[in-house]
Amino acid sequence: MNRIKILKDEIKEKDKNIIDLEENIKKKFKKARDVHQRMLPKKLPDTGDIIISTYYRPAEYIGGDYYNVMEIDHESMSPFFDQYLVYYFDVSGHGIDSTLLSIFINDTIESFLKLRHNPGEMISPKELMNYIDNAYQEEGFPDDYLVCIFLGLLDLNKNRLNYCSTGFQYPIFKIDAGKKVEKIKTGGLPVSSALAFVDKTLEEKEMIIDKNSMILLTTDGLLEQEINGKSYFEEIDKILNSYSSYPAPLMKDIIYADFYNFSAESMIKDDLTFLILNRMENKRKEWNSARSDLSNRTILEEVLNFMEESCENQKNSSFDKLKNIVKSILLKENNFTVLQTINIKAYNNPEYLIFSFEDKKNNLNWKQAAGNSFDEFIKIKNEFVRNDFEFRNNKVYISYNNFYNKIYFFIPKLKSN
Amino acid sequence: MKGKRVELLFEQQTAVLKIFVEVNFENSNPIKEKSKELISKNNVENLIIDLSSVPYLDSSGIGFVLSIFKFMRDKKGKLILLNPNDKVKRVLEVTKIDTIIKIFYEKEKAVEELS
Repeated sequence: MNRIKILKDEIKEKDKNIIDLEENIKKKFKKARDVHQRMLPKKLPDTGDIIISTYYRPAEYIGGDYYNVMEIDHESMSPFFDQYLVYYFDVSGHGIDSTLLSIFINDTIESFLKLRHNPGEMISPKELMNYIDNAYQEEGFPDDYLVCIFLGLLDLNKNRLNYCSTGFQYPIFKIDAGKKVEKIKTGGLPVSSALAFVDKTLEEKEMIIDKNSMILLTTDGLLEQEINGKSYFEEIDKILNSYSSYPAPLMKDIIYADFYNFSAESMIKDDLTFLILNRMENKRKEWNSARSDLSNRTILEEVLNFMEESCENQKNSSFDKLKNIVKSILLKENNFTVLQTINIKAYNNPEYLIFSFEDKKNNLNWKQAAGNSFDEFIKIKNEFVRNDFEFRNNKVYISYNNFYNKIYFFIPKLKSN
Repeated sequence: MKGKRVELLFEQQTAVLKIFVEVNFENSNPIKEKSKELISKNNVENLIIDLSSVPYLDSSGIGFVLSIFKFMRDKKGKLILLNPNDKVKRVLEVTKIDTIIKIFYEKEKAVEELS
């Protein structure tokens, strides 16, 4: 009897050790995830008439995907340029090894910009891709990994995207309001140590970003997800065609809601990373709050006038609620007392008006700061998602960026009869 | 995972590595290790990978093909891909793997190429 009891106790003890070990590993992975998340850019440039929205979710605790959009520094010649490096990549695998390789790729891109780029010179995505490939081959990483990379130079003076890509199986989507979505092939041999001796011929391509158009850039994870033999790649056209006139922040919300509907209860197999570059119809209007309440009252008046003028005859409770929120933010009432450097941008498109709010100094998390102030908008948004993304009663729709440090309000305009 | 995932057969003395499943992130490593073990154990000089029973290759699947490609090249051997379905063929074309590894759709011709 005693022997059985001893054995039972030993098993119990071992079970406990296994549980503790699992907990310990989970904690370490959670920490690694936090580090990986911190590597992602918390802020993306938005300039002129461009809005950039992104979505990122690793398949497991951490992943090998990464994205960034950074302004190219032309130093004293900067006033003559308005250029951005847009890039994303996918290292095969979802573990710490993939994350480490993604740090290497990112560091290589940054070192190219520091060492190889001279102010005033045009960056060639093809040259940068070759630089990354050479650096990767020099390190002699195991041939178990491969890296798919997209590098684009966005020139806003010319509304042009020059790009070079390797390894991605799926295309870029060009979405022009009211037109059928266009799929532009990318592909090319991936970066891999197995291909060290292969002479790769890289191609650089060019795309014009028209007004009222969007470019959807995504790693394979989103499109590769398959349910009952059907991939999301075969499904995504429907929403891209149906909502081609919606702005990037809302399109981002629609894509991920639709993707999770499609995936239902199934496991998400790969990291999900996508970026949407959206060129608006008109240039933005911008306000930066001041320290004094007096100046902020003037800004408030301007913003409210702009809202009224842009959305004539808009009379509904959510529009009035938004006006009250703008007032709370600018006059630092309620939960927004910490705001000092609030930046407000407005884009007035024929069919809708968008406001974005960002606290540039304090990097405010709007979701946390809002308390229950945004509840009405969250409710409208939930109904919107449940009702197949159709607008109801011309209400105001809310959207956050990846880190909740930027908030968008989207106001469809009432159509006059 | 139950069931055979990979098998090495000989067709007129030419080695044919037959893959029976989708090669993806979850299984690419064991399939790769098993394949390399079979190739080494049987002193394979030239190899055909039979993809006719592979429904799909994701990026890890492409990684598997490239890893075997390098493995054979290091042994001074040749590699041929056989009979990919339309989905796999599209992947091989988009990623330009077809520019570095020959693809055949008839086993006899693939065997002849390596003989």
